[in-house]
Amino acid sequence: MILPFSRKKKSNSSVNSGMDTKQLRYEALVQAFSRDLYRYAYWLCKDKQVAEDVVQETFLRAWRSLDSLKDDKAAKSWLITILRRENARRFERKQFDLVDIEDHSVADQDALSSEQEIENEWLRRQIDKLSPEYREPLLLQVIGGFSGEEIAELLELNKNTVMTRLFRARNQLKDAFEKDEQRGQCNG
Amino acid sequence: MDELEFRRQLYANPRDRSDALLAAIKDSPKNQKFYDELQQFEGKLQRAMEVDVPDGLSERLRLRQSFAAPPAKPKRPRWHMALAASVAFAMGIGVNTLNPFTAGEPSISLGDVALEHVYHASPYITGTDEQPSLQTVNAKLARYGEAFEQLPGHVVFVNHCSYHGSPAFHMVMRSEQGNDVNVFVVPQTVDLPSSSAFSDSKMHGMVSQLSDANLVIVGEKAEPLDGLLHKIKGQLNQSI
Repeated sequence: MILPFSRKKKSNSSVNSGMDTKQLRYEALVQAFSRDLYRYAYWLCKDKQVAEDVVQETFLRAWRSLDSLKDDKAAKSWLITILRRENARRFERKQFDLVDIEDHSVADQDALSSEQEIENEWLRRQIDKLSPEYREPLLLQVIGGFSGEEIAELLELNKNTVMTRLFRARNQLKDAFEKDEQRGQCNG
Repeated sequence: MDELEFRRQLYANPRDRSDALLAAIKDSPKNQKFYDELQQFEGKLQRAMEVDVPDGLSERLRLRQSFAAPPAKPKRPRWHMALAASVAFAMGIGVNTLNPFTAGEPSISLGDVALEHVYHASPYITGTDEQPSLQTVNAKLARYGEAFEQLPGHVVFVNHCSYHGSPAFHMVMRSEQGNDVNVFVVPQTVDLPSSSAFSDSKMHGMVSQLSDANLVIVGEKAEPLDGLLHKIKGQLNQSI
């Protein structure tokens, strides 16, 4: 069943070198951004398998239109844009069950041993409780390392709106955290 | 900068290092304390957001791309069709599903795309046996509105694939004769003409309609497909 795809090596050398450059660029993108993209996808859909599927689709689309990426500095926001569209399509299809984070813990239950991990898990639940319009700018800032201007562009909002949402998101989390700490001290 | 503004700016961006902000920290021990606390909290937030990334993710991304990459220039006329399909892949789903000219391309049928895909993918799949579980298979299948009650036989490989530029489900099974049989679940948005049976000189295949998708199976000429098609359809739970 294996077919000879590459017999005309010599005559295709210029095509091949173009392909090689594209291949190298693609692999560099995977290397540099796949982890952050996965994390971002995970927070959008809260399911490991679905997150990986979304990232797979994102990179496949990126591969197909890699030639349209002219400025490598824009690569990350370009990928995030593709990923957000892919996630929106997933919602349009509405063909799978959405997993509730209460039922589907972020960390493996077995791994919840140290205080640090318990704190992580607690914070994840709080992040999950944020409304999406607060959560998404925060994810872009913390995971993506994007500036206020970049987030504004990605989410098609004005920068002041973004900064306000970032402020409110953190304010909400910090409040919850402090209340929890006080409660912990009372209990202890 | 007053205290309120100071807090507002830091909450919006704890990494802000503007002169005004640094001056405000220097001016007031209260601000300094708030700043230190927030930096600590930011560290916690970052750790919480950085969920574990599954092992082998980047390898799987490269593998997936290797399926989507168009093969080198075909030599025999038979491969013109393959090239046409590859060009369609390269143009991407957005164009393909929205553009009636490519979506309704009369010269390419559902079966042609399946054959092309099987030829293109087989070098990467032949000999693998990843033994995906029912859960893994159904996780991939879910987006096409289908699920298996039980695996319809020995599954060696499963993934999403690019089918005429659109995502589809691709599963490879090892038949009782020990040959690979390719199974595709192609959403009906892939609007290509189809007939219930198709073949070329080496392979043959069958198409069967599901509720929201087409089931396409491809095997070698000598491989009996009727029974398997029936078995696969029997295990598909189409109520999802």
